[in-house]
Amino acid sequence: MNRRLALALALILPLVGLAASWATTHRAVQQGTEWLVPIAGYDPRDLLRGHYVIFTYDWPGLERQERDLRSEPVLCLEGRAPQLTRVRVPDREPCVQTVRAVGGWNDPEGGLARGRLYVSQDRAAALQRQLADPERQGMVRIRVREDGHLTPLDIIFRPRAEAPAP
Amino acid sequence: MIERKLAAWQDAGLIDADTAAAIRAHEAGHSHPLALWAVIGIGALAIGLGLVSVVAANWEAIPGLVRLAIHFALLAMLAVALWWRGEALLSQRPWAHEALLFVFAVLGLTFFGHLGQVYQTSSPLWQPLALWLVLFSPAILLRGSSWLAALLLAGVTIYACWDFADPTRPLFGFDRGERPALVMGMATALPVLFAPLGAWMRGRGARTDFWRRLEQLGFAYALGCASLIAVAGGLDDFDGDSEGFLAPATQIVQAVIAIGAAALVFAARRNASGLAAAGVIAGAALALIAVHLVDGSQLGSAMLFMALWVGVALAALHAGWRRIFQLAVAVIAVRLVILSFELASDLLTSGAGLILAGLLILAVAWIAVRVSRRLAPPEESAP
Repeated sequence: MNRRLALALALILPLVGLAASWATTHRAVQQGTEWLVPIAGYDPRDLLRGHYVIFTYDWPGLERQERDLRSEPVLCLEGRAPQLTRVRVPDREPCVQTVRAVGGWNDPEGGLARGRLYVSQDRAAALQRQLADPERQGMVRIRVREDGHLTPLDIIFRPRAEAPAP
Repeated sequence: MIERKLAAWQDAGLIDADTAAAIRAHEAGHSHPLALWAVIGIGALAIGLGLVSVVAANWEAIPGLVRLAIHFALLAMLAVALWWRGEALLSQRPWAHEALLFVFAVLGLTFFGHLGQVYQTSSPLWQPLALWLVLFSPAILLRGSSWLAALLLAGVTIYACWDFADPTRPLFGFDRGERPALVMGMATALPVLFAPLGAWMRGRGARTDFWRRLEQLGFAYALGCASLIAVAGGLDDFDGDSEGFLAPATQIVQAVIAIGAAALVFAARRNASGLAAAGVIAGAALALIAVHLVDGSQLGSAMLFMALWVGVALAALHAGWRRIFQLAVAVIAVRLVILSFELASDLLTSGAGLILAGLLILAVAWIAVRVSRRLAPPEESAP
């Protein structure tokens, strides 16, 4: 093959690949339903992928022992989106909306026990302070796709009295 | 420095003016501006790290889509520059070309992180790294010209392979311990294949330095992994709670791939250096299997480790690698000293023991230095 042509292909390939990856990601995050889930959290950082907050989901209606289960990481969401009334481990009753973690409950990249949200350094510090405030309940806004894939979008705060009982 | 020597030799009548001029011309044509290369390398590395941390700062003042668009436009500009001016740069200022290529590749790597940040997506690290390898290795293999590009390619490959084989994470539905040995072995042995690739290409065409570095990195990976495994072989529960990549089946797969790589290295370079490099890689492969015969014995694992490095020393003697021979002697000496403490752990607890330990260390060091000086091959060359 012509050397000049080979070089052109080798340089176009990464551009096309990255653009395709960008387009797929962009499309994938537009789909799904939004829900609000109570959380608790803390603030480590990661050099390669920026600053982020790792938070623990406080799924309403899910007992702690159920959360520690080594069972399949799938939950049924109940309520009218975005207001989540309770979740349950799927059984014989049909699920209207399921949420699923591919990497397991405790997947560091984002499971059902914990999730991560990328934020700027300043915002991460502010979130950390707000999460420690006993008067306020942190809620994560998540988007759940048809196939159960979950993406955290943002963290918001409400006075604790209004929040659904954990 | 060479100018002073040449002048002195010419004054002493050892060489005439023509010879001095010929030597100058030869040196000018074959000089390796090592300091310049080091500075370029550090500069490019700083730019790469800077790009990573700019992305990591997650600058919220600019909307995500705009940030991504700027990042992508930078990549496109670099690609155009490499296409437009690449040929001229590569022949006139290869270091500038290498720096440009490195920044292009690192910008591509950080693009995945940037995407994850803007869209809040996440995936195991090996997935973006593997995609990066698919997308960027053609450009690097076509245009890399020094250790900088070779190190980036080999480094990302090794990281992606080990992150893929991470024993703490379930993979394709297989939990830890039950993951297929074939897949684990193939993934972790993959970087060794840089050795035959580099050996094959360095004799065929330009950019010899890049291919030689790539071969050295594959060689170092095989030797480094075998050394680590030989050290781990001395641990008590080595074969007990195996996590998949310490299982014998995995290591048989790794050893088969490494022996294949060794055969290909020798096929590509049929000379003393090629034979020695192939011998060391094959020896590393045998060490991976032999470690299961040792099975937790301290003495056995030390013998295996030293046998591996005696093999390295013999190969270096055969091929004339002076520094690698000296490294091998030093490594064996250090292992001998450590072994003496392992076998007689009370050496440090009494005065007489301390004196004995000191004498032992001095004796080992003395012998090592003498062996290193006396036997080392005279001229410097590397695998």
